[in-house]
Amino acid sequence: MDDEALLRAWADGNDGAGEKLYRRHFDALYRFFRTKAPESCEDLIQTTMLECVRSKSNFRGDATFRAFLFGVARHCLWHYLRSQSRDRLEFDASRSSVAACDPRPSTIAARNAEHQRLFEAMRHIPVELQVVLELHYWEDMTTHELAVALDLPQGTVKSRMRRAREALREILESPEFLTSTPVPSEDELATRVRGLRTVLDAC
Amino acid sequence: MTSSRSPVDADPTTKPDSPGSRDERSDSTSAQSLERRIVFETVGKRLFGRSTGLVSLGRFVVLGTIGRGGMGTVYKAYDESLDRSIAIKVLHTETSEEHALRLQREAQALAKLSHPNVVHVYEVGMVDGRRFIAMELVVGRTLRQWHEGEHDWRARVRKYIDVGAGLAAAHAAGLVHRDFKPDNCIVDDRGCPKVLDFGLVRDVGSAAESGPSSSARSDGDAFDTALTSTGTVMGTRGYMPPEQLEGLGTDQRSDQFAFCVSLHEALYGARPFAGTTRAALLHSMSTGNVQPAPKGSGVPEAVRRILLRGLAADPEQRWSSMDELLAALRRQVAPRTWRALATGLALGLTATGIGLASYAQVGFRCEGADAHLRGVWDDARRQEVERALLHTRVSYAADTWERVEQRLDDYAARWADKHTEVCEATSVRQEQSAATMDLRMECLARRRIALAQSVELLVEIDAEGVETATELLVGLPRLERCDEVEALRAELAPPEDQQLDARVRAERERLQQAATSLRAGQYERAWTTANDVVDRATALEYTPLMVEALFQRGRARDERGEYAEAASDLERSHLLAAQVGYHSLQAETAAWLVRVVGYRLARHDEGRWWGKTALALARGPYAEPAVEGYSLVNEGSVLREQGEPRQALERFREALGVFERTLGTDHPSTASAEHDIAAVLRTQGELDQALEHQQRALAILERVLGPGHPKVAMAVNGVGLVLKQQGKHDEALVVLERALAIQESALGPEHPDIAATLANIGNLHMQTDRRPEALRSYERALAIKEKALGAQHPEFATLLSNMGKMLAQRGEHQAAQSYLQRALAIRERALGPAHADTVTTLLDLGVVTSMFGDHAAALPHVARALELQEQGEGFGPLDLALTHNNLGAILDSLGRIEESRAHSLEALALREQALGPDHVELVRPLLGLARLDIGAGRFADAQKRAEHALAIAKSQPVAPEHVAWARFILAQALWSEPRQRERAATMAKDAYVAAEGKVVETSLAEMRRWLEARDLL
Repeated sequence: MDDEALLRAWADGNDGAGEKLYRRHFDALYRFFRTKAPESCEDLIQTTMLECVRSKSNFRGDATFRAFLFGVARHCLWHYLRSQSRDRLEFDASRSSVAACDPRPSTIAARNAEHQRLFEAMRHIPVELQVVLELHYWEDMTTHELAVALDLPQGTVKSRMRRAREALREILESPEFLTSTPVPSEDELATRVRGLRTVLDAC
Repeated sequence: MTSSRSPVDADPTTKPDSPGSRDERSDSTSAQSLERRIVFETVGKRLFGRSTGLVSLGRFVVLGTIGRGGMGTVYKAYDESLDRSIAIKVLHTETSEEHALRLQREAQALAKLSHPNVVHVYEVGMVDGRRFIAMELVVGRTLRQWHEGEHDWRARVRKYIDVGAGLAAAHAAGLVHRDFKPDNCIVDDRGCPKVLDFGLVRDVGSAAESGPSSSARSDGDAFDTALTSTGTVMGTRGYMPPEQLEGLGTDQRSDQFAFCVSLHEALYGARPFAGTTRAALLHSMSTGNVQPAPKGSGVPEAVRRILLRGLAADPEQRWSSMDELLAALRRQVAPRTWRALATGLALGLTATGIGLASYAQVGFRCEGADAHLRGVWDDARRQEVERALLHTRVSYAADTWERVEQRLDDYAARWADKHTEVCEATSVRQEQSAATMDLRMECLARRRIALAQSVELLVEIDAEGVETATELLVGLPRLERCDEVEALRAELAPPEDQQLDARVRAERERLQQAATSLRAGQYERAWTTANDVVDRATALEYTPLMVEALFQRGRARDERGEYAEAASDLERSHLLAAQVGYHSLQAETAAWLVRVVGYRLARHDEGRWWGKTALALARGPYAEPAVEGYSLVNEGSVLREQGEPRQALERFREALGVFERTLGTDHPSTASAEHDIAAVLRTQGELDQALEHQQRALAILERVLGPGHPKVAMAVNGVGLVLKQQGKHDEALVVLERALAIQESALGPEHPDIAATLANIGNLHMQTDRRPEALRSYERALAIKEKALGAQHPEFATLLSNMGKMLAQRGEHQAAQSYLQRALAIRERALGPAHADTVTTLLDLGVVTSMFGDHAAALPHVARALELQEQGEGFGPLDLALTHNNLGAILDSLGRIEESRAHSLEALALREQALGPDHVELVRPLLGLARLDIGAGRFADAQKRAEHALAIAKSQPVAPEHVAWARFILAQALWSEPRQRERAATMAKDAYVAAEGKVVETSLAEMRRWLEARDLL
């Protein structure tokens, strides 16, 4: 059964369908929340699944279920981050980073210091850009899917990705992050970020 | 984990979707990370209600995540072999062989160490190259969180003395912690601090006894992230002594240093040494540059001096042992001689040597719980309530008083016990902090108010109120909540502003009044009170109050039937609760919304969504335990409305389990769940099971409410109905008579509720052919209903109509006609002649009249009914077809064959149109027509129709009399063809023989006549 059918079946009371849907997308959801809201993964994944059922009428067939799912997940995450920041009005996904909301270091324990550094750096760029990178490099989402998930006009997605990579480089070049190893080039950076997914999955 | 890019179903550890195979243990040796699996299972369980698999670590079964830190993640787990819950910390990084060995040795030493201030380590093991530590499960807060709540310096020092005792004990066993800080110490619910993570967390570079190494430096690179090269993150470093920062050896005196840093922070709010980088810290420490004490901390110089010695850069300069340090501290907080305070300290205090200041706080509260209950529930109140109840002269008032007294005594006694225990826990046993005591006392204070309000209500009770008196007390808030310290802490803190706090308190007391009114069934009062609070709460800026006020108002509106408004209130309450993290009400509002939105407002899908949400929330932390049951029961009701009886039954059964567990078997909600289960089972025809459940429901209500209570009568009625359905008429009658007796006694002989019971009794009498008794019961029921509603009320007509039909079924045509005529008259006047109910009665009357044989009189009724049906709305083709058929039959009896035929044809056409050519409902009209055709000599038509009927009978279950007739008619048709005559004769005879016992006597006679006329018998 395809995802849309599963969602509908679940909404109709077929828990088995719901479990199937949950299994299919759990890993991606876990990755999504683990990097940005580690303390509340359980609650957020749960809320996301339930919200999908509730707003299933918003799921139009013109996008993949995945895009819809991450649109919902994104909403939940924004809501959570807003509630975590000291001044709720201050939270702006295009400016605030996860690190700004929670200054403690990343709890992802990568064995390699470089990986650790990269994870940490990603927490320091505006969370909207962090999401763009993760959804593109880790979940292989197309520009169309990204547009739906982030609620952006499709034309702006590519420029957003560019900005995300730029922001990441800037962070890596900042005094706090500078080390003896050189900052990777843009291409290199893309590969490194992509490679983080495997590291994350093993944690 | 696969490295494939496709995100869907690529994970090899995803189990195949087989519904049966749920409880497999997934071995931790699989590649999937433990953490991830735990999250997966936990959320899965909350969403779908069952564990899709358990994760195990050797003999430990992981149950859930407790917390996550930089070093590792802590899980709650269950030790199967010893049957206890434990905590397991799984460290993130891998260990080398030599470290593993050292750890093993240390773990052995730790395992032997059993001290109240040290978290007991059970086992250290390796799995997947990751180290895990299985240890005592301690529920509480970290020391850091604790000292954020505690303001008295003496209390803090005392707490740290206990902590220090733990460290000292470990030192005596030859262990060194090496990473002591307030985050590494847990204060449990009784206030006992326990030190955690001895030496085991020091991973790379735990240079044990001596010898320089690059430990501290490599530590930093490996763990504290790139940031710590500039040290913007404090973390571990802030507590390390200089010798550790420099990578020289550590020993017990390093622990002492860390301890003093922590205590300094606790007493002065800041750490002793300034500097955020390693270098800066080292500099401050070596120069002995301790931050000056902030003003107004209240901490004596002497204490400060003790700390400063422990903070010396040179270990040789510090205290020679923890024991010495602790002894010095103890002398500072030693008991003073007790001096009487001017303000009246309550009597009964003994000088147990607690410092005066904190004692005064505590003193008032250990005043004796009995004193608190004076005026709430004491001998005077007892008499008042007894008098009030018995004065109502309600028949079951004495029974109710017995129960009310018992419940009040029980609640008051338990309240008093708890009050004393909470008080002693702090003042006498010093097991509990003042802050915890505050929380628990607050909880108890609220319950005292609830008790007082309930008694107040009972004192003013009137006859009507007796019915809800017992249930009022059943619903008193749970006392056990006041022991659930974690949950109490999770509740939101009261406003800091004193004025606001006082006002919030006042409003909360009013809300409690609203809740009490609701429990007593006084919905008007509840609404008014709650509404007032909502208005005032809007002005106060304290969201939790608004959550509570909207919740009560929503409930009141629901009980008053204002469902849309109720839903709106409850939804707002829910959203606000979610916003501020008010878990318990988040769950409860969701549970109510299932009922209001899904059941009352019939928005089924939405209701089911709320059901999922409510259940997930109810299973989460801090929700009241019974809420899970209510969510399930409410969802069940929605499912039943939606026509999903099987799913509904599942929910009801689950709910029953929850109620039995959380509320006990003697609770009205448990009875209600049993009743719901019985109702569904009845519709499914599982009558034996339904009876069992109904009887259990009855038994519970009898115990809880007393045998003479009106609700018990309803439960008895329920049992009677099942017995009736089972055909056990005599037993059912006995049972219903009992219900009647209770109702007459409890409600008075003319109460409208009695009419239903009487009608049921009447039906039973009819079914057992006791006509005079049946009519007597019917007449009494009618008289009551008439008196209660008035002779022109449509409901009265309904009763008349039902009885009329019942009578007709049993052949009592005359009585049936009379009742139906009365019903018709009322409906014509009250609803109008074209109303669906009126037309139905008209038709019924016609049919019954014709059954009586008076076809001529029946005709105008049925003809008019048809006219109205054709003109009106709300009548479908099948309704019309039935009427056409009836009309046809009447015309046939009147000899107007052609007209009859026309109607029968019309009926058939309508049915075929609506149902298709193969439907069993076509059989009767086909046969009707066929008979007419035979009579008119249209044998070919007759044959066609009979064959059509028989064809349907092949593929569907058709009533035997129709099959018999079909065969007979076919035979009749064939008889007309000379060549088929023999075959026809055999067929006819066979059909006649087969028809015996299946068709009515008149029909059989008809067949016989036809056969005899042809000499076939």
